[in-house]
Amino acid sequence: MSISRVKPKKRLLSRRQFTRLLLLGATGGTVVVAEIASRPLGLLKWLGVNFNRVQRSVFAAQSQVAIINALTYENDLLPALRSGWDLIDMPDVTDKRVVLKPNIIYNIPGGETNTRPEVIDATIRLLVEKGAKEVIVAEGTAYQRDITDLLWQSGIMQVLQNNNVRFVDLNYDDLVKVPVKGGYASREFYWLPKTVVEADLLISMPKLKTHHWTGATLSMKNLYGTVPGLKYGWPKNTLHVTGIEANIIELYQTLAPLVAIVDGILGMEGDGPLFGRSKAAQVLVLGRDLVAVDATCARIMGFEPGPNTIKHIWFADWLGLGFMNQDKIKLKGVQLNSVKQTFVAPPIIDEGITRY
Amino acid sequence: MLVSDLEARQQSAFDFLFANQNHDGGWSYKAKGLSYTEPTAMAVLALLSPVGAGRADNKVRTDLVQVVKAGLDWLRMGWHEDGGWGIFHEDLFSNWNTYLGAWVWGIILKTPLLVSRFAQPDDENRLKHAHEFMLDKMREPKVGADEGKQIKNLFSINYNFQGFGWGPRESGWVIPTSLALIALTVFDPTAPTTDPIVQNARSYLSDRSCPVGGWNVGNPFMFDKQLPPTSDATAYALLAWSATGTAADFYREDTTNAAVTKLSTFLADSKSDLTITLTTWALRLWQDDPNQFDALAKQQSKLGGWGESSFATAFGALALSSSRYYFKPGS
Repeated sequence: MSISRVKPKKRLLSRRQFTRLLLLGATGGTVVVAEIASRPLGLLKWLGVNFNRVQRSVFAAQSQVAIINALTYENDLLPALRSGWDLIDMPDVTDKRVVLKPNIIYNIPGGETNTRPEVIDATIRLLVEKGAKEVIVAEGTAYQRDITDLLWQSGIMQVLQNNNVRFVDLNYDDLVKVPVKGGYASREFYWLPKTVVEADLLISMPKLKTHHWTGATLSMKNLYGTVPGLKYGWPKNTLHVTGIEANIIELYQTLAPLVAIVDGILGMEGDGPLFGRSKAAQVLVLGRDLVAVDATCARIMGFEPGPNTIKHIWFADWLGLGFMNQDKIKLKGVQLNSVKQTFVAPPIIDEGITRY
Repeated sequence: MLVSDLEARQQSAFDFLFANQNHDGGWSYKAKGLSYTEPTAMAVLALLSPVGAGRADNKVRTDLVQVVKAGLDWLRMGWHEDGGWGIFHEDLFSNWNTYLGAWVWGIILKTPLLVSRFAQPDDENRLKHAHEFMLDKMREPKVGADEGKQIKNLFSINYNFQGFGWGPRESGWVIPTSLALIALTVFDPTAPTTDPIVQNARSYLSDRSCPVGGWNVGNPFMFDKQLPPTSDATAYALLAWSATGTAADFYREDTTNAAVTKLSTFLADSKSDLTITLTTWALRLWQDDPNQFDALAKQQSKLGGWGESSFATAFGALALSSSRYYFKPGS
C-alpha cells in the first residue's frame, strides 16, 4: 500500500513573513500618522527639536542676561550700557558691521512708543568704543511708507547726524531671498533687506512694551521691523495672518546672529504697542539669547511667559532656540526682584481676528 | 510760481530721471539700487507728461521716447502670466504692483498719442489680464457676519466695504485701495458711477478716514482710541479721490477739506523728500495755493532730483505737471 502524501498548498506568505509585514505596515502607518500630526514641523523636525531640547537642558550652559539700572534718559547712558555689556558674554564687535534695529513705529505725543534716541546714541558710542567697523541704524516701520519725519520727530535723526551714522530704511532696501530655517509659518523664504542679511551682528533694540496681540513686544517681536513693507505691505498684516508667533520665531531663527538691548527705562503698560500708559521700569536689559532676554523682560513687567501668555517666548524655548525658564538664565547686574514691576496687561483680543 | 518755472523744474527732474535710469531700463527706490516695479512705473508716468499733455512732436525731447521705451520694456519683462506684477523681476508672486502696471498701460493705451509711440501688440491683452487679476485676486475677501461684528467693535469700521490689499486675498488697506481705484478708473472712466466694486471701494475709503482729517493705513480707530492720520495714506487717498470723483461724493462732505488741511500741515512740517513731493502732488489736485510749490522748489537739488531718490523725483515731476493726463487719458 502506498501512502501518497498530499502536497501542502503553498502559502503566499509564511506566518512569520506575514507577522513581519504586519509590523512593518503598522510602523509605516504610525510614521505617516505621526508625520501628519506633527505638522507644520513634521516628524523628523519634531524629533530633532525634542532631541535638541533634551540635549540643551542637560548640557547647555545658562544664558546670560544683564539687567542694569538706568533711572532716567537725562543721564549719559553709555557707562550703564558699557557695564551691562561687559558683565556678560557679549560678542566681540571688532571690525564688525553692526546693524541696530530700534523700534520706531508712530509719533504719538506723550506716548513711550519708540526706542528713545538716548539709548540708540549710547549704543552707537559703545560699539564705536568696542571697535566696530561700521554702525548702521535701520528700521522698516509698519504704519507708514516714509519714516523720515518720524526720525526727526523722535529725535533719532539728530543722534544719527551727531554720530555720523547711516540710516537704512528697511522697507526700501534692496532685497535678498533668504530661505527660512524653521518652516513654522507656511513659507519657504523671506525677502529680507540686504543690510540686515549682510550684517555681522544685528542688535534688536525694542522698547519694553505690552502688545495687544502678543502680550508683549520685546526683542524678538521687534524683528518684524526687518521685514520690508515693499513686499509684505504696511502694516505687514500678512505676517499676522500666517501666524504672528510663528513668524516671530521664524525671523529669530533665520536672522541670527543677534543681540538684544532693551530700552526699559520708560516702558508702556496696558494697551500697547501704541496707546498704553508710560510706565517706569528704569532698566536696560542686554543679552545674546533673545528668548532669555525677553523672558526676563516679561518678568520685569510682572508677566510669566508660558503657552498662554506671550506665547512666542514659550514657543521659542520649546523649539530649543533659547531659554525661558529662570533656572536656565544667569542674571547679572541688579536683582530681578529689585526692578520687578506690575504692568497693566494689554486688552485680550480674539485670536480669530487677524487684522491689525 | 510761473508756468515756465514749473516746466523748467520738471525738465530738470526729467534730467535726474534720465541720469538715474538703470542699465536694465528700470528705476530704483534709492541711488544705485536695483530696479523695482513701483519707481519704474512712477518714473514712466512722470516722463509721459509732455506727450500725455498733448505737446507737439517737435517739443518733445527725442531722448525721452527712448528712455520711456526702455522703462516700459522693463515693466513688460516683469509681467506675470496670471496678469499681475511683483515688486521686481525676481519676485514671482503678483501683488499690489499690479495696480501700478495697470495704471501705466491704462494711460498709454487710452491716449492716442501714446499708443502710436509706445504700445506693442500684446499690451491690450496685458492690461485686460491685469484688470482681471485686480478684481479676482486683489480685492479683500468678504468678512463673515460674526467676524465682521468683532472687527466693528475693535476698529469701528464698516466690514461691508471691501478695499484692496497689498497681496492677493489679504485685508484691504488705504494705500493699495487708492492705487487700485486709480487703475480701475483709468481702465474704465465710468467705473466710479457704474461699477459696484469701484463704488464699494470708494465707500471703503470714505469709511476709513480719520475723524481729525486724513487717513492712516486703514484703522481710524484702534479699540476706543483714534489712530492719527499719516501723510502717505492721506496723499494717496486724495489722489484716488481726485481720480474717481469730487469732494461732494463723500458721505461726509467735509472729509476732503479736513484731509487737505491735514496734508498741508504734514507738508509744512516735513523734511522728507518723499513726503514733500507726494503731498505737493496730492495738494495740487485739491487746492490752488500760490505757495504750494515752495517746499518742493526748496528741496529740489541742482541735479534736478529730490534727494537721491528716483521715486521721490517721479512724484516731484508729476506734481509739476500742468495736465492731469495721468488720471484722465486722452483728455
